[in-house]
Amino acid sequence: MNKETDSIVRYCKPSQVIDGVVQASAFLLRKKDPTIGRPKDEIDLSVDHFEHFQDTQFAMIRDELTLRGIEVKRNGWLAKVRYHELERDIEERLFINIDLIKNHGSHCLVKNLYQHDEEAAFAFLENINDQVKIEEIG
Amino acid sequence: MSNIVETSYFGFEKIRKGSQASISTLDEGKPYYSYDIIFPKTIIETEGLHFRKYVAFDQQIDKQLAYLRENLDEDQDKEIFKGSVDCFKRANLSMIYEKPPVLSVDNSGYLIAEWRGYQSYDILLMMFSPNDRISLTAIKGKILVKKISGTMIEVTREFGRL
Repeated sequence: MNKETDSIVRYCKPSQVIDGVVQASAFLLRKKDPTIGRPKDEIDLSVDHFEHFQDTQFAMIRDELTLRGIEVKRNGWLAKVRYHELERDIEERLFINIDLIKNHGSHCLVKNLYQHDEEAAFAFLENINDQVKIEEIG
Repeated sequence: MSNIVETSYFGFEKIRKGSQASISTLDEGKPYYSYDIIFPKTIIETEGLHFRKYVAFDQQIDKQLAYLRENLDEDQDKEIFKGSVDCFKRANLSMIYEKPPVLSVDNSGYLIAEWRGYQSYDILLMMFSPNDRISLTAIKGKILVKKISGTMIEVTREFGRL
C-alpha cells in the first residue's frame, strides 16, 4: 500500500447520503451500546484499500464488505477518499496524526480518530474524489 | 395565522402566538424568557416572514425524517434514533437558522444535523442524544473553531451565538 498515492473507500449507508451527497455521519465512529452487545466505543474507522484490487475495484470492495457480513444495500454508496491529502489536512488543521493500518485483505483501519471523529469528518468529506451508488456498480 | 411560530435571537424556544405565556419552561423546569421580554420590535414586525420560512423548513425536516426512518439499517439502533429525533425536535424549537440542516444518521443511530457553507462556517455539525445532550462542532476556514457538548439549552444557546 502506497499511502502517498492510494485511496481508501468507506461504505456509506442510505441514511448517510442525502440527495447524492455524502454526509459527515458516514465517517463517525460507533458509540458503545451495551443493549446490543457493544460494550465499548469504536476507536478506529473501518475502510477498504481501493488499490488492493487491480480492476473493478468498487465491485470487489462491495463483495468484500458482503463477505465480512456487512449489510450492503442497493441504495448505499461507496465513497473514495484520497488518503495522503486526508492525512495532511487532519494533521495541519486538527494537529492529529492519523495512521492507516492494513488489517486483512483490503480491509484497513484509520487510527487515532477517537474523540476527534466529528471534526475530522469534514476532512473526509473534502477529500472524496469519487463515489458510486451500490446499485450502479456492475 | 392563528398559530404563528416565532423565534428568539437568543436561542430560546419558538413561541406559539396565542399561548402568550410570559414565563414557561423549556428544559428541566428552568424558566426561559418571554416573547415580550426578548423580541426586538423589528423581529415581531417581520413575524409573518419568519412564519412562512419556518413552515417551509419544518416541512423539509419532516420529509427528511421520513426518509431516514424508512432507510435505517438493521445495525442502526432504532431506540437511539427515536430518542435522538425527539431531542432534535425539542431543540429545533429553540433554534433559528437561515437554511435548514441536512439530517442523517450515524452508524450508531444518532441523528446528525449538518449545515455546509453556513454563514462563514465551512460546516456545522450537531449530534443529538436521547438523554437530551447535544454536541456542536463548527469548522471555519477549515479549522476547528468550536466543539462543545452539553445540555439542550446550553448548546442551542451557543448555536444562537454563532
